Order: sequence, then structure tokens, then C-alpha cells
Amino acid sequence: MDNILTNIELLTTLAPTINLELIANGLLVGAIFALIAYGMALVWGVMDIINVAQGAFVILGGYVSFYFVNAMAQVAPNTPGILWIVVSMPIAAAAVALFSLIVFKLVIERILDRDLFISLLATFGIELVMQQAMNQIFTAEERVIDAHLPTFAFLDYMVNIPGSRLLGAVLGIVAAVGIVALVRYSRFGRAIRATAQNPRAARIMGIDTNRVYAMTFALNGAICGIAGSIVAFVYVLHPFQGLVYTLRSFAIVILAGIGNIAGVIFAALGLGVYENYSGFVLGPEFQDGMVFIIVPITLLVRAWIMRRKRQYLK
Amino acid sequence: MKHALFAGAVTLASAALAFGASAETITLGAAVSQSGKYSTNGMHTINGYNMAVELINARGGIKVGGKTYKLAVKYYDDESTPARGAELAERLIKQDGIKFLLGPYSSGLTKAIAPVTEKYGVPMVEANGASRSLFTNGYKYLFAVLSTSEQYLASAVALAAEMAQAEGRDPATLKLAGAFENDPFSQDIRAGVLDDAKKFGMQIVVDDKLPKNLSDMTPTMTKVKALKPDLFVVSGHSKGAATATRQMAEQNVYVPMVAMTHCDSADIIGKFGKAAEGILCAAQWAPSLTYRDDLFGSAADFAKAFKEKYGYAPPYQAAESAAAVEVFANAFERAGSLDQAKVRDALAATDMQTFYGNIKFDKTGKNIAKPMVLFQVQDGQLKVVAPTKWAEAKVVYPRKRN
Repeated sequence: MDNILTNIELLTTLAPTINLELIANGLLVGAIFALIAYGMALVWGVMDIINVAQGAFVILGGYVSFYFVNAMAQVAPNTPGILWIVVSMPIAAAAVALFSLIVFKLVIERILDRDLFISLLATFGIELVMQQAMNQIFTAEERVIDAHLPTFAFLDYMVNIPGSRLLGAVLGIVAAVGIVALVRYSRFGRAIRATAQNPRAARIMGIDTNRVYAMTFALNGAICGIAGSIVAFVYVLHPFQGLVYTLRSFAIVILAGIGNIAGVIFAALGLGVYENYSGFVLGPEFQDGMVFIIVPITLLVRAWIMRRKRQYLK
Repeated sequence: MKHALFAGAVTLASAALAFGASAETITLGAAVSQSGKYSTNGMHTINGYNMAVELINARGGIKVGGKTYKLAVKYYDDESTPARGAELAERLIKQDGIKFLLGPYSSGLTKAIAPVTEKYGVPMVEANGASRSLFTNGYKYLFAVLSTSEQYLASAVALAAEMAQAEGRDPATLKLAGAFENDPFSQDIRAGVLDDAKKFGMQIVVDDKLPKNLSDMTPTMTKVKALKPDLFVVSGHSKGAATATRQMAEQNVYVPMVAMTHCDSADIIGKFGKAAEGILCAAQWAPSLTYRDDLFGSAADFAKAFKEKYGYAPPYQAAESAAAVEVFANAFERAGSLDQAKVRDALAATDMQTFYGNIKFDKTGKNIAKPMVLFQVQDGQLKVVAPTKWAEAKVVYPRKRN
């Protein structure tokens, strides 16, 4: 308790500039979450499947990126590492997209029409298998990519923006904008949106919905692949680390509401800041808990609002 | 010629009687992780055990009460799960008739197996369970060759105090920041650090618990930066070491002295290069220490032999595992019998030097004769800087700013 008071004192009177650092870093982290959560919202909205394996896909993408960057460092040691990090992103995206297609054919296709509970179980199973397989193949050793980027310091070193996070956030935003544009303006995107609105009508209008589902799942894989490469040079890769990203994107999608793209982005940025503050004030051991408490609170508030609108009977 | 024939005969005999109690072989049992999250460290453990067993056998075995025995180890894979470890210990003892056990890898598994060995009165020498909670249950058959976890970073606190005094500063004016993972092992380390800090009267300004699936330490880093401690201590297994090293550099957090656990297994030098410079690392053992014994020679000799055999430099997990076998061999010879109670008493009376360090157990079975060592990353290499008796290099204090 004393700790918490001291921490609040730090924020309010002793060193108010660190608020800026907490906010800035929170926003940068949130940008990465936004990307992952957007993929989850897409699959959820279009296919009505909550992909519990989302985090494992992210970590897989990270490993692809890690091995590619390392291999390139061997082949061409004099090129700047940053080049290969950027190049590794589409490669990781393609690899995880391909992997997602295989998973779709093997498992997801069979559970499309089943209820939510089955899809939770199935994707949870996929996550377990992926974790253990990655543990066996890549070993349990922590992996990181070092981007060798400088940190930008402001206000006498009290506010620091690490170059790697900035790069991660920029690349994340570029990828997100590209994907949003794809879904909004391309023919394929129109098919996705049509299928999400009404699969039966879409089928009648000649859309191969099964193919749309497969492509949506692959698109989510690509998103996870890109996010994974970012995670590899901002955070740490570990076969069992995916849960962190699954749970955060779940909280973000719940907070934003399904089908609300702008909501996903704002919720993700907000969550990043909120998480940094709760880690600072309450201590890092409460960081996860403070994220998950958002889920029941959001659901309760939603239910309460709906009841007031009398749209739903009790 | 006669010797070779004899050795051949013994090998044949031991091969024929590999299971159960043969007349010529003492079979030790061990459940060690060969799959699951501890598989890498489990492999180091097994390699350490095998290295010592093979060398002892090549030197002619162990003399117990006038008879010569060879050693063998029967392994099971505990899949890195405590429940499975306990089950396998039971199986080793009851089905396979094993009378002596070597420890598994990790505190958690040792904790699961210790009640089983205790129940059947089977002596267990373990080398990879450091949690101090293992030694508070009054176990009589459990012996650990390694330093317990609360000692891991205590030497760093002492070093900080020493440095302050050398500068003419009272250690009581030092400020300490700590971040420890929320698991029994790291919390033990925390207890040790806080105890020592209290002894010097230091002020603890940050005391954060890191979550198990840690991904980000930014809030802790921001706090450390604002409160400007003199010593920053981090213990969060390899992931904690990697995350802390990266984020300290990224967030421009400067603390004159930084100490961690698991920097070697996290390979912070290989991963982050310059960012790791000046960080202090706690370790159970280092090849540059001057301990020696008759079996392996010096610590450096062990490291060389191990590298030749397995193709990689021995981490301390392998070294302490080899030492556990040596302790067993020594106790068998002194007991002059294979009676479990007598071997247990002989183990309790152990007082020897191995290449891994001095070994002498207290009443609870933990080794009180071996201090932890502190490395410092200096010019991209780990150099022993404390305790001063074995220091290869002088500690660089304060740490250089990047």
C-alpha cells in the first residue's frame, strides 16, 4: 500500500515528466497490440471464431523473422540489420499465412458451422500443439533480434522513446492501414465484408464463402506474422509467450466491440497506456490482472446499457 | 593384459545385470527432464552425471568395504512435470529396486521428489534444486551440492557496500531497487537480497514482482529511472535477464551497479553486445575457479574434458551434476557399506573439495561450504570479480554509461 502511495506521489509531484514516458511507451506498445487485435477481430467478425491460438501465430512469425535475420547476417554480414528486419516481415507474413491455410484445411474448415464453444476448444488445442512443437523445434531458449537502433531522449533523459518501439509502431500502423484499405476497397475485401454480413446471401450472390473464410484466416496469419517480427525486435520470443498477446487482443476486441475497427485501434492504444500506468502504480504483478478485469467490466457495462435501452428482456 | 581382461569382464557383467542390484554395479536412479520446458537444462544435468560416472568407472570404480563396484545410472524422463517426477521416483525405488537417487533438474521437481525419497529412506544427492524451501521441511535424506537461492545475489549487495565504503560513503546511504519474478525461486533470491540490504541499513526504493509471462518491464524501468538507486537487482530467469538488459539500454536507465541471475543462460552478451557491458551475474560455478579434486583435476580441466566429450562449454548445471556423483562415490567409500542408513550418515558427514567447490552439508542437507561467484561482463566476456579470492579481474564500478 505504501508502495502505491509513493508511486502516485512520484507521478504527481516528484517527477511528473515520467507521465509523458508512460504515455508515449504505452501508445507505442498499443500500436503493436492493435495489429494483433485487428486480426482477431477480423476472424471473429467474419467467421465467428475466437482464435485462441492468435498469440502462438504471432510467436511463430517471430521465429521465422528471427531465423531469417540471423541467416542473412551470416550471408551478408556487412549490410545493416535493420534492412533484413524490414525484409523479414513480408517473409514472416507469408510463412504464417501459409501455415494458417494448412490449419484452416485441417481443423478450422470442419468447425465453421459449429458453436462458439467448439471453436474455442479447437483453437485452444491448436495453440497447445503449436507451443509444444515450437518448444521442440526452436528450444525453450529466449530469442531476440537486436535492431541496434538508438533511443531518442527528451527532457534531460526523463522521457525516452526507444527506436525499436518507434519502428515497431510505425511498421505496425503501415501494415494496419494497408490491411484496412484491402478490406475496405478491394474486391476481395468486399467479399469478406459481404460474407461477414450474411453468409447465405453472399453464397447466393456467387461468393465462394468457404474460400473467403480460408483467405480471411490466412490474412489473419499474415497479420500475426508481421506482428511477430515486431515482437522479436521489441520484446522477447519464447514458445510459451503467445498467451500474453492472445489475452490482450481478446480484451481489446471485447472493449471495442466486434466489427468496430476504429474501436479496436483506440482500445489498443488506450490499453497500452492503461497497462503501463497500472504496472507503474500497482506493480508489474498486477499488470495482467488489470488487463483482464476490463473484460468482465466491459461486459457488465454493456449489459447494463442494453437493459436500459429495453432492447433485451432480462 | 590381466587388467584389460578384468575390465572387460566387469563391463560384461554390469551390462548383463544393468537392472537391479548387481554384485558389481551400484545403480543410481534419476528422473530428469528430457522433454518439456526443462529439456535443455535436463540434458546438461544428464551429461554432467554421465561424465562423472564414466570417469569413475574408467578409473576402476569405487571401493566399498573391500569390494570394487562400478557405477551406473538409470534415467527416466519426467517431462518437466512435478507430478510425473514423483511418480517416477516411486517407480525407481519400488519397481526397479534402486537404493540411491540423483536429483532431477529444477527446484520444483526436486520438491516433488524429496517427499518420496524421504518416505522410503532413499538418500538423494541433488545438484539442481536451489530453493530454500527444500531445506525447511526437516528432510534427512536430501543433500544439495549447490548454493541455495537466497545466496544468489547476496554477494552483489555486499559488493555494493564494499564499493561504497571504498569511496568513503556509508553503505546505509545506498538505495536499492529490485525486480523479482513471482515464483518461489526468485522470491527466495529476493528474501536473501532484502535480508542483506537490511543488514547494511540500505533503503529499498523499488521492490517489484515480475509476472511469470513477462513481456515488458517498462513501468519498472521508469520507476528505477525516477528514483535513481545505487544498485539494481533483477531475477526473472532467462526471460527476465534478457528483457531487463534490453529495456535498461532502450530506456536509458543508468544505475552504477546492476546484478542479475541467469545472464549466462540468457546469453545477454551474445544477444545485446554492448548493452550487457558492466552487468554483474550470479553463478554457482565458473571454470576459472581454483578448486580441484583427484577425479577431474581443476575446474578448468573439467571444462576442457567436458567440451571435448560433448562439444560445448559446460554450464554450471553440468558441473554441479558431476559433483553430485562425486559426493555419492565419496560417501559410499567412507560408509564402507551399501546400507542406505549408513550411506546417509556418511553423506551427512561429507567434507570434501571437488572441482566444483567445497562441499559440507549442514543439518538440513544444504551445502554451506561453497559461496556463489559473481561475474561481470567486461569487454564482452564474463570475468569473475567476486569473491575476491577467485577474482580474475577487478570490478568496474561504477558501470560505464553507454
